[in-house]
Order: sequence, then structure tokens, then C-alpha cells
Amino acid sequence: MAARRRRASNARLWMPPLACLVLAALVQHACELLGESMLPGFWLHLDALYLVFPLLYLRFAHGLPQVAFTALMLDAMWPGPFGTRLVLYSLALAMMIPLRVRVRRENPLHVFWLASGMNLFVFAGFWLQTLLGPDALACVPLTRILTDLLVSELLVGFSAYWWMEFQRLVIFRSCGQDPAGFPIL
Amino acid sequence: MRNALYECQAPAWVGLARLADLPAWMSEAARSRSSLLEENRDMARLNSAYMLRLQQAGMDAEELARVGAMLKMPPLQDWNYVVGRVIRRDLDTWWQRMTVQLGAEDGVRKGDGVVCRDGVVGRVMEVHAYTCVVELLSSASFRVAAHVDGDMRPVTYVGTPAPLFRDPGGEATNLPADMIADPARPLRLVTSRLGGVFPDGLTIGYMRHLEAEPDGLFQRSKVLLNPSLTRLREVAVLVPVLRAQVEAAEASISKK
Repeated sequence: MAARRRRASNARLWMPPLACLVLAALVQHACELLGESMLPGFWLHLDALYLVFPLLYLRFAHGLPQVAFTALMLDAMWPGPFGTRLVLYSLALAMMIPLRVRVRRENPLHVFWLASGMNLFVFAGFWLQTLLGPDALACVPLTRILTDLLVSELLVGFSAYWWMEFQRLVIFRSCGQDPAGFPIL
Repeated sequence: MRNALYECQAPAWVGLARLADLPAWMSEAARSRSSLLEENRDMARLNSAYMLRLQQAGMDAEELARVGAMLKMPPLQDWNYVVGRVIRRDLDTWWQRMTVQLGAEDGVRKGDGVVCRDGVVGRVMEVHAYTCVVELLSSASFRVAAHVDGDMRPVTYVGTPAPLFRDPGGEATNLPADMIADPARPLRLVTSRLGGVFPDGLTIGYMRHLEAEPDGLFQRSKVLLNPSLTRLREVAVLVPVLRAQVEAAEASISKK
């Protein structure tokens, strides 16, 4: 019984990366369906959604392994060089850690700007990596890149707060402990 | 490490692909008995037609072999068509790839060609145990030797980066300067056996307008690809027969 309670109380440590992987699969499927039916030549990049919860609700020592795990799992299926996401996510997390005390996680507007900024950073990293890579990847039309970026930014911005609250709710329901009750510093 | 992480996720992607196919399967399962009987009859007719063509193809192949032997030509390469389901598509801003449920266990190797009913799909880029990653024809890094249907002069086909809100396409370069395209009757670009990856004559796409290249010696053209390229559910990997035989012989020797 005690072991079960202990496992449940650690839900905030193992549940977010699993939730992120499920979300990544759903996003992938949604993009495939969009491409099949209405919008060919369009793709969503929602990387900041995998970072907001570890950043705003977990200690760096707890958040970094989660982010690293998610990044490596996504990197394994990604066509680009292995480890790109790991580096970009870790950098984004490390850069935002000192600034997170200025962000009110209860405020959707604060979360909007935070998520949009991090998503922009990660997308810029992918772009830079492809520019440095083979020539063929560097000649993707700018309109395509900017449209993908703009729509992804808006979607990430508007959904980050609700996604974070959903993760918090799931953890609260599963173990009865609110992640907001744990210190992050 | 990448392979380990990839392999542990692969079953989940296969499962998700099956889940995504569930609505289509349910709608198929709900079809009436009479419509199935009608389709069965149509299939039987089609099978009969194919049986006749197969007999004819057998005779043609013998004829070709006789002529080849007389002229001392090297034998033409033959392929096995291994059919697999598409379980994932990565058609993002920079990449055009799909994952197919065929792997090293099925005899697939890096560089093998991938085709579908409408023509060329792409080329195998990565091979894992039970899955492989295919670089699509529309990928910017895809290149293949080709020729125009009815004209054996070689040209080069290159995929172009996916444009916004449009189906992917490609570009043919090194087209002879005397070639003319009519928008009403577009030229069919087909594979050439020069590359050794594809058999001759598989459709790559169609060309409506040709324009002169800067050097004036050749022409280039945009190639319209099959729009269903990004919606495929099943594809076939071309596994060379000779290689499969060699690998089977090696496997039997190593067992002994």
C-alpha cells in the first residue's frame, strides 16, 4: 500500500513525458490528416508544449531528465541529426529557468508569451540546422517556413496554458497531489 | 541509441496506424453481400485478363532472353514486389518521408526503390528490423535517372521542396532542346533502368511546359506528381531477385 502511494505521489515525475509523447503522436496524426484532406504542404511544430510544464511546475533537476527523455524519443523518429531536439530543448529550458520566477503560471497571457518564445527558439534552431545541412533542405520556400511558423506559434501560444492545466489536473486526479504545491526552486 | 529508441517506438506507431485504419475497415465491413459478390465477379474478370497477359509476358520474356543471349547482353535485373503498409508520414517543412511496415527481416535494404499502383513513390533511406523509412519522390534530396515516355534519351529528375498549401512536385532537368510539350497532352516522365534502382517505364509524373535552361543546350520542366503520393496506405518495395537469392544462399550456408 505504501509502495503504491509512493508510486502515485511521483506521478508528476513520470506522467508529463508520457503525456507529451501521446500529444506528439496526436499532433503527427492531425498533421497527416490535414495533409490528406484540406491543407497539403503544411505542418505544425508544437515543441514548446513539451517544455512548459517541466519549466513552470518542476525543479530543474526533475524537469531536465523529463525533457531529455521526450527529446530523445522524438529525435529517434525525426529525419534530422539525432540529438538536435535534445540540445534545443535543454538550451531552451536552461535559458528560461532563471526567468521563470517572473512568469505567473496562473496567467494565460504570461504562458502564451513564454510558450511562443520557446517555440520560436526551437523552430529557429531547426531552421538553422537545415541551413547548415545539405543544400537541398536550405531551398525550402520562405512562405512555407513562415506560414508553418506563424500558425504553430499561434496554436502553441493559445493551447500552452490549457495543456499545462490539463497535465496538472491529470496528476491531481491520479495521486491527489497538486504539482503547484511542490517547490520549484 | 537512436535505433534502440526507434525500435521501442515502432510497435506503437504500427498500432496507431491500425487504429487510424479502423473507420475505413468498419465501413468496408458494413458493405452488403450483393456489392461484395459484384466486386468478386469484377475481380474474377480482371484476374482472367491478367492471366492471359501473364502468358503473353512469359513468351515475351523468353524471346527477350533469346535475343539477349544472341547479342551477349547482360541479363536484365528482376525484382520481387514486397507489399507493406504505410504507418507514418513525415511531410513537415523540410522533410518528405514515410515509414513503411517492412524491414530488414523482409529483405529490404537501404537504397531499394518503392513503388505503388500509380508509379514511383521513393527510395528506402533507413532500414530497421520491421520497418523502413522511405524518402519520397517529392523530397528535395531525391534524384533519379529518368526519360520521357517514347524517348530513351536520359534526363534527371529532382524533387523540389514542398510548396505552401499545394501538393508536392519535382523538376526534370537536362531535357533535350528539341523536345516539345503540349499542355493538353503532357509528357510522361518515366524511370530509367540506368540507375539500377527501378525497372524501366514506371511513371514519375507529367510535364506540361518546358523552358530553356540558362546554357541553352537543355530544357527543364516542373513535374506534376501523383497527388495521392502523400495519402498512400500501401506501397511495394522493389527487392532485387538476385540479391534475395544470394542472401538466401548465404543464410543457408551460415546455418550449416
